[in-house]
Amino acid sequence: MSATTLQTSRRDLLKAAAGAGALLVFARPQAGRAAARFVGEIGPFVRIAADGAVTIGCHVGEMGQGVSTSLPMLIAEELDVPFERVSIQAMPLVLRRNARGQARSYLGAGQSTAGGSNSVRVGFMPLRQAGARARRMILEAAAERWRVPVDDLTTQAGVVRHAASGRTAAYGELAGEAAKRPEPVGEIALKTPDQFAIIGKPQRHLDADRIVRGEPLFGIDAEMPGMLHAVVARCPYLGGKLAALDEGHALGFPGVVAIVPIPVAEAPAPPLTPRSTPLASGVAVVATSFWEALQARDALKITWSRGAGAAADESSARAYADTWARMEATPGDVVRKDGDFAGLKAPKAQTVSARYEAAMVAHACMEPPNAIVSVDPDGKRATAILATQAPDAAASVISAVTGIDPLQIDVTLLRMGGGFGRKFDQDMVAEAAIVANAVRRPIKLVWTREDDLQHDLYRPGACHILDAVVERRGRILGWRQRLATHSRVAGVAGDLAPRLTEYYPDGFPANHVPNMQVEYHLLPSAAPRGAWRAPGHVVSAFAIECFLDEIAVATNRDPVELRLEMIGAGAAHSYMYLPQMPRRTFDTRRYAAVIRRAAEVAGWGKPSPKGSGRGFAAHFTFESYVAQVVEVTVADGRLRIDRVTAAVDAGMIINPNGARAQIEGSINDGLSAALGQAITIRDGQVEQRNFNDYEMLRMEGAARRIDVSFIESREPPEGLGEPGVPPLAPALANAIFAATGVRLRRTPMRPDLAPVLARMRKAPRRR
Amino acid sequence: MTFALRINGQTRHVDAPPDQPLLWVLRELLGLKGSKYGCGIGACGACTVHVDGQAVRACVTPVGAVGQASVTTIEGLAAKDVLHPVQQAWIEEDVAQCGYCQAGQIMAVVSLLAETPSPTDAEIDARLTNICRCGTYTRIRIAIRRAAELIRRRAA
Repeated sequence: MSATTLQTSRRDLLKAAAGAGALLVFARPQAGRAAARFVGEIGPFVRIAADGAVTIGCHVGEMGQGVSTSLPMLIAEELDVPFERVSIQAMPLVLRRNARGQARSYLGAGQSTAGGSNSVRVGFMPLRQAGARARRMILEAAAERWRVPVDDLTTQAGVVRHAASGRTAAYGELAGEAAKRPEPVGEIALKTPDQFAIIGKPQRHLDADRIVRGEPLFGIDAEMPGMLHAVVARCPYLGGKLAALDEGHALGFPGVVAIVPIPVAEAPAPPLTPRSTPLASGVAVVATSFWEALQARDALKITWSRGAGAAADESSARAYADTWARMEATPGDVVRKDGDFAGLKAPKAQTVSARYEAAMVAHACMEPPNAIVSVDPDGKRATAILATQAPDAAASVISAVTGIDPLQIDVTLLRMGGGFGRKFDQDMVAEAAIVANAVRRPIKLVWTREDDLQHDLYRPGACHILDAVVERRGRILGWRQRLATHSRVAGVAGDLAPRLTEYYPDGFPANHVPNMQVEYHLLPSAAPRGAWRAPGHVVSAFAIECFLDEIAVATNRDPVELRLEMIGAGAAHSYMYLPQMPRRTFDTRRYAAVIRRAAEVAGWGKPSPKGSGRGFAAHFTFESYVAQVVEVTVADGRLRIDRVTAAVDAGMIINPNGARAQIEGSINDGLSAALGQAITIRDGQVEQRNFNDYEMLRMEGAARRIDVSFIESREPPEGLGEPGVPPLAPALANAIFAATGVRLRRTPMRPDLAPVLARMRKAPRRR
Repeated sequence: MTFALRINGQTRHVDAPPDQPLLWVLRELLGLKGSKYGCGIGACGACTVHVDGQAVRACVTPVGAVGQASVTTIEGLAAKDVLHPVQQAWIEEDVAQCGYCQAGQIMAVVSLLAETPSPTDAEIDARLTNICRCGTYTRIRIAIRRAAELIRRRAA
């Protein structure tokens, strides 16, 4: 069916184009901001004008995580220029073929990819080396000009000095000669931390001025000459397909140029991600404007078929109920086993048990998914303007769809209006590439909010059953955790075991409880899943950190003291992140330090006024350690978040201001997901459609005050975009318990919280 | 239909169906991309503009309903190089993370402070209902205070 439809629509496109007359076809469309594209001159990242103005390129997409400030800081530090003189430009994707013949960004595989809070951590040494190489090129230019040994030269704040002769030259004077020199090879000696002039000093976001002026910085703002607009009608049924379409009807709408089917079989498997990009079966409407495309799409006469098997009438209520029952009745896949939980004999010990549940949630980036892709008329080259976390993968996907060599695909990166893991996946790019390949015109494909919430790659939900065997004074002898989750990878042939993306077997309290058993079950769903800020961590931390609080309450212990007692002296533990990746280190001494710091800064242990309470939680995410104290007040039928205190050990902090912003944002984002957000499935379809039925945090629900304390450290920097989220939900639930005596064991909490608030409003006030 | 719209102090002629939302007229026909699409149902405020000084959600405002009213978008807020105090406060407090919702937040706050120069927390909560997924709310609250102070100082 697809081939016929495609031919018909291309004929119709030509007809429409001929009829419209005004439509122009450009042979080789250029990116809208082609003139502003960054090209490095002194090495790949640096340009210096004759007047000394420094421009530094940023190769990782900015999505609010601050890399467009923090990464150039690393380069500027070793280049030795004042940061006030630096401006930043986004770099286009530059692909080269590696020894295995794969097309990768030139810094190495995945280096342009923003994910796993890795950009600063991974870039720390290579970007400083890049800055040092550029400085070396400038020094060599000066050495040649003055005919002195290069080692006799020093630099300070963008000026080269020859001490013996007293000669000096500003970088701008040497830039032209420096740019002609070959880039040095090999490692260059870098500054020691005590020599840092930029790293560790707070910087404001360099694009702040352009943002507040409303400049067109985002992917959704971009244009290409001769561009058409596409909106896709996607099958509302999970795993369902297009059954029939009245195409003639749609082509009759104003501005409509073509109808292009999106067949699921064309979904490519990008080699850089551990799973294929899920693509919904659908039909793209191509028109001369977004508004026209949208009007026509919403009037399409389409018959959809339901998904096969369980997907046909999937219900999340039923799936959760069945899973709870299965977890009780059948043993799961053993994920971790220390000691012997089943054989534990401790007659004087008590058992504490609890269940925790988390719903699926959607990413809901404020900028909905979009992509601009153009395929040249001869099909030999493609151009794309993308707001993506993974430009390497985007080029692979466009290549897979069009058959074009990735090195012939030109990708411009624009700012993302939020990413949070959603823009790591490439379904929007695949759709745009399919349409652009069919019509051979530049295509801007935009998702509506309804498209976004109905066809997100959802964060997995979960069920956890926890049992602890605890001595009277709170010593935990045994810990059994039975969990079931949706999985980011389940159902993909030849892929990782699903448990390994949703549970981290070396996370706390592993190694600090003698008898531990963790069993995994799959929570089934046909809904597509993806990475959502701190994947796997948010839901696991909720269960584990709430349960520790329950153990503390059951044994009349202070929850902070209990955790510190469990850690004891602490140690560096080997930590499996993903099986195919190098092991990391979880140092529980550093973990104890953030726990102590958060408690200290928050004034933990001071009595709270009636109706108020404090809750505590901590978590280790992507090698960063975060502990949080949440303080809430329940009054007048409302929950108010009075204050959140966070203590963070993320190694050396590059930009303290940006780092603080990440933790502050993570706290409010964590509140948003913990309180209101849920994606539910009924009758084989996602129920939520827009922000009227998908509850996002607003001003009134946000934390009134946030205090962030970073542990001073000379350890290498770790990620900060994600680790602030996981402790929030459990600290919040623990605070609500402290304030009200009611335990909330499900996220989102709002449905269980509402009756508590109503009851407390009605209750007469005690004097 | 052809409309003569008064936008940022200029008269702009556009040809659009009267039910087309002002947002898409601004973005697609007039090239003013600062007002953002976030939901299309007036729920998130990313598209907030001023119509005769009142904050409205352009995604649910039909262009045919604008008439002779004066429309101000984020692009028209600064007087040439001089930023509006709210924009200035946003930079000084380094509010933006991804930045996508901030044009709408700023337009909503300008309107709030025009009517309520020293808003209480409760007034801020009630009037500022725009969504920010990055969670910049805590800095927004601080920036509102700073903006209110900057406005008072400029007036003095």
